[in-house]
Amino acid sequence: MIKTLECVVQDVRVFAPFISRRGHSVLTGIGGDGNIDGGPTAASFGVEYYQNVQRSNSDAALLIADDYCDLMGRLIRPDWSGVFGTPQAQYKAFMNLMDQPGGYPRLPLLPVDETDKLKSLRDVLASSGLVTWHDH
Amino acid sequence: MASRLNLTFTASESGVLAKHAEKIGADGILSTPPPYCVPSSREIVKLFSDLSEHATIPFMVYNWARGTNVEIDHETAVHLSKIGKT
Repeated sequence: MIKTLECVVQDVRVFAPFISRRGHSVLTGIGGDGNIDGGPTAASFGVEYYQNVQRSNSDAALLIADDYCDLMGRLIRPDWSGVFGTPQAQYKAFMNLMDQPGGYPRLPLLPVDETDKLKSLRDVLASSGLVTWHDH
Repeated sequence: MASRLNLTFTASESGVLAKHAEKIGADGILSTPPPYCVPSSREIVKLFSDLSEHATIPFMVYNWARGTNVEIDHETAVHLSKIGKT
């Protein structure tokens, strides 16, 4: 990825997983423009992270990156599969838990609707401040 | 066949969607290489080069190998970054 970034960043905008300590180093050392990620969970981290990067507030950006990596590590596996369900179904469950209009996935995907999984998901989101512990 | 399955694997078919997106005010277009047929590097560059001519709004190439079974490699990415630059 770094070799590719070096070769293309002057010609095009590059969106990649930059919200991490390594990503911050690459972003500030070589360049880049942003992330592609699930807005419901990532937007609150991403906006603040990139604003701090733009203002050269590295310490603040790295703290956000640590929180983001901690959250994503409990939701998405290294092979990009979801911990609690198919990524699309899992994101819709996040959104519903966060009172956003998530709805339900289209077949053949099935909603994450098991009580124990929803409780675990809520706990993960609550531990990152995306929902309050006492909601619902 | 009792029914038809419509897949947009070609630039001309996807171009119709790109034009529509531009017409209704989209800020940009994002596309992966088509899944299943696993195009070669040359075919990926040709596809996106053709597709980029269908609309004037920004165009994003999405490398999502887990979802498409197509990995856009380094050489291909560099070729793609030059589309429209000459």
